[in-house]
Amino acid sequence: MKKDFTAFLSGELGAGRERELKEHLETCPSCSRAFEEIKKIIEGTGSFQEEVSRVMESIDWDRLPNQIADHIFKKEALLPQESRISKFLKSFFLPRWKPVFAGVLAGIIIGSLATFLVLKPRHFMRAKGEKIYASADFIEKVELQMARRETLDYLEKSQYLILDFIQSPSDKVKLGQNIFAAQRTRDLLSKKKYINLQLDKFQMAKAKEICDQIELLFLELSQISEELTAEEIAKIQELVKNKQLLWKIKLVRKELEESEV
Amino acid sequence: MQKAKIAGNEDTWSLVQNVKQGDKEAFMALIRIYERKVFILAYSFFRNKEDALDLVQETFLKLYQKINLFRSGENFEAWLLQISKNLCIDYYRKNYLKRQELRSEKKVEELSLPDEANEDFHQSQEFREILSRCVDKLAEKQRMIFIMRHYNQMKNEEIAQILNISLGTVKSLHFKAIQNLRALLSPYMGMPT
Repeated sequence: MKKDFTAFLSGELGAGRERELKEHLETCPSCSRAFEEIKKIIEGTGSFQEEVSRVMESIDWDRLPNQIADHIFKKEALLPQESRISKFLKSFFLPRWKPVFAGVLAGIIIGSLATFLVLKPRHFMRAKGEKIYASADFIEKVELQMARRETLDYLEKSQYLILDFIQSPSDKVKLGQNIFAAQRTRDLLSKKKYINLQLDKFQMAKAKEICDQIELLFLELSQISEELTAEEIAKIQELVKNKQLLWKIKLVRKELEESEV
Repeated sequence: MQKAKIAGNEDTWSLVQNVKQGDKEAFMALIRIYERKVFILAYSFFRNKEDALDLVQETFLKLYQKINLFRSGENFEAWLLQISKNLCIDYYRKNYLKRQELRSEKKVEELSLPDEANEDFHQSQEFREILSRCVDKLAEKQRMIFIMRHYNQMKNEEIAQILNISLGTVKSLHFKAIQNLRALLSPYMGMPT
């Protein structure tokens, strides 16, 4: 309702809405008071019209355009900014300049190609069929290093998983039911298949033995953990602790880390 | 009426075309058509003749520099007043609030309260001064809308076009401006807040 007061005061309301508003104002003292306040404010601005008319009478409106135009045309901007730019661009792209632009463009392309040919690194110039040779010893070292790192990674992840297993309460440890643990176990089992070959190849016997033990444990757990009772799981946890599997992992990891190439 | 408007637009467009070519006479003709409107807008902002005249000059200078950006079919008056409004805001932000403070030592709260018996207080010079100070206290968009609507007698549609906002926003900001003015003016008109 109050939103319509100014529209009502400036005669912008439709006849129906105006009648409604008048009727409402007669019966609602709160709206009536607000209406009077708004009316006074708007009437207060009315005096501005008299003021501005008085001020405008004192200005020579016929001379003003001349003054402004003189002032502007005397300034640097004798032509509108955009016009100067567009005129420059228009004159710059005249058809007669086309051969010059074509020449400049060709120069840029040839120059870039020449720069590329002169400055490009030597190995880019190697013939297509040419091969890179490395000694067998070097390749073996690289492979050994990779195997060591893979094994280290496998051991580290296994260590965390076993830690989770032996530290969890025996009734909540079933790997088959814990999606996250099951996923981690599956990942480790598949990783083990990959590192088996490397462990055989580089005869890291100690590492292989411990990795096999871990694999066996994970296989057993992932397949039978759902059928085990809490007591049986507690027994396995105890067994893992007694066999000092974590300790062995730690030792092998340390050895592998120390034997870095 | 519509025909006259279209003819007017065509005249303006041909003047604009000539101004683009650097025609001083055409530029002066444009100034003659719009100088009063620009002056009223600037004066309502600053309530000072000299500042408003400076603003008129600045507006036409800017217009001259940017005239190539004006495209056929656009509303020239709204475009020009938009330039003027932007200059007013810049000028107001840079100097005016500071100058107003220096000019008048009294704060609005210190201006005298009206004699309750004087029913015509809201039509007095003093009330006009208070109202003007309270308008200065409004948020920028509210102030502009109030000024354009009540000092410049513009319609909501014109204001929306100049400020580049929707008609609904104009109405809502105008309502907020009125409500805020009611609150600010309440001590001077015996109004409860």
